[in-house]
Amino acid sequence: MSKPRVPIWIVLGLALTLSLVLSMFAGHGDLYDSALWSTFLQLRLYRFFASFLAGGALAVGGVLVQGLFRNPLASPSLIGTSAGATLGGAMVLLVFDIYLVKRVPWLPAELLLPLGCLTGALMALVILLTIAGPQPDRTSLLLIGFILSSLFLSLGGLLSSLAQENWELGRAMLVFTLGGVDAKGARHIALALPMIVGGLIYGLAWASHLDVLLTGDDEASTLGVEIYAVRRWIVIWTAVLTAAAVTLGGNVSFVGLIIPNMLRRYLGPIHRPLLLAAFLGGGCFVAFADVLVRLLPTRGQIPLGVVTSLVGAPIFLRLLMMYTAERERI
Amino acid sequence: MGGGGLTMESLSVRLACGHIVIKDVSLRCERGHITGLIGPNGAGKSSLIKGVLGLLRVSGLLQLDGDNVTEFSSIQRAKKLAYVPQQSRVEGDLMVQQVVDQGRFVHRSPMVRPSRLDREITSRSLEAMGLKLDPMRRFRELSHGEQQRVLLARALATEATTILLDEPTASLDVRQALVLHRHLHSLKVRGYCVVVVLHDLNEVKQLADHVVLLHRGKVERAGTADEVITRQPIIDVYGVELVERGGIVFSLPET
Repeated sequence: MSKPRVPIWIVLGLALTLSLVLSMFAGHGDLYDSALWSTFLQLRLYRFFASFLAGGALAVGGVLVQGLFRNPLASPSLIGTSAGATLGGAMVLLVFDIYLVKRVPWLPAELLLPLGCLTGALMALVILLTIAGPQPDRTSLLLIGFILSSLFLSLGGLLSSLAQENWELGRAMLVFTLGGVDAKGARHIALALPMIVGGLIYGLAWASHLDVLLTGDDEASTLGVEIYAVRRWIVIWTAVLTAAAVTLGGNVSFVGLIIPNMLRRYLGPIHRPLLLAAFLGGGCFVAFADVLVRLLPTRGQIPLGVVTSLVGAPIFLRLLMMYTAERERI
Repeated sequence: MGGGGLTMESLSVRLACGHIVIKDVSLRCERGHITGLIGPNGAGKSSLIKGVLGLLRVSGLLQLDGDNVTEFSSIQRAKKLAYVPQQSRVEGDLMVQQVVDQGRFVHRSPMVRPSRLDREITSRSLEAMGLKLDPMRRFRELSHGEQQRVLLARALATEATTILLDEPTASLDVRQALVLHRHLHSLKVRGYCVVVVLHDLNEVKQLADHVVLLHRGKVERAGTADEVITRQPIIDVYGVELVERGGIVFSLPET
């Protein structure tokens, strides 16, 4: 911990305000055109909320899995949960297009998407825990996570190639796999919001359990933590949060890793302030990334997940080097 | 706190894989005494402690002050039995105060911050261990001796009056070990039931009132240190000769 707490909350407040303002003004189209003003504002507001909530959910999920594995390098994208959720979502899109759209025409795909993402995320976490055990070392966790992510993304790629016959479906699946919040509306937000609020409330309510869990399962158990209950609920809520984030923004990487780790340097390891700050920080990070997506001078829009990865990967490598150096020092 | 303590009768402890590591052990660890568990590597000392703490499955009778420990919820158990590991696996940059606060976890609602009473108890626990540390210091930056005393302070903060320690002096120098002995002795005088796993037989003689020699998951011998650490059981269990030549004894200065 290197700095007092008050400034970080001010910084986050300013970041939130700035990201909201930039989100409103960034992009093609003239906001001052009175005929289009309300439409633009509405679309950009939806886009801001979708990106903010997706980022907040992923960062909160990151704090929870880092607490679960007692490993600061765990995050939904690195341990395969995001890829699992993306695969689940892609399967729903495909099944919906091939099978359900004709048979149940009144059923919108958005309603099923969170369910598919949740199933995928849960499946990924259960497979990881089955293979790696409850407290895998850092290398095993990252390796197994990498393998699972690769597997799920490859399966997602396979589904995408199957979907290429239908151009619209193929594009939707591509956007979903690479991340993006364009075309997200009130219905997506309304579906994801309760999942994210639930995950945040759970995290805040159980934060003191996670604090004690920092001493390891055995010690925490003798101090009164019900390990299996905490573990089970963290797995479930991490899956819910990841599913909500993927529903809103597709596969957006590195948020759950870099935001909690950067904030931990200022706030320390205690989970309650960390969770709140991660929600705000993760939200602002993805909202800024989405502004960047709109501002970068490219022919088409760069996928959101590509931007977060371009920013996140170097920060991740830097964090990895810092942790390795600290390990050697102590 | 007079009388009472831990009672085990025909107690067996098994690992998660089902392997039995302690078989039909019967022993008593009284309040106001320090009970030393000794034995070679793999004798089952740490497993016995973990069984008592509910970290491993047990069968048989296990009572604390007449109450059946196996019927305790994890909260009840944490309020009555405290654990000090050989070395804590504390992750992250937890500070001394935060580590000792963990001892109050079981006494407060998860949503509530530590109260004034919690703060008083944690300060008292740190004082009882003679620790004049900055509570904002990082736990990982402390010496092993200071870490052990912080962990003991955390155990005191739980207000449990039965404390189980697993090789607490294994990585301490002679002075730090003697300081820890003095604190354990003061707990004993205050009526605590102290159970400590030890490797050093000289240390056991200095520290423990009651010694239990474990071998292959069974009690080989129990009694005072002079009764247990004798030639034949030591040959039988450790396969070494016991040679008494006076030796060197260390003590802390009076001041």
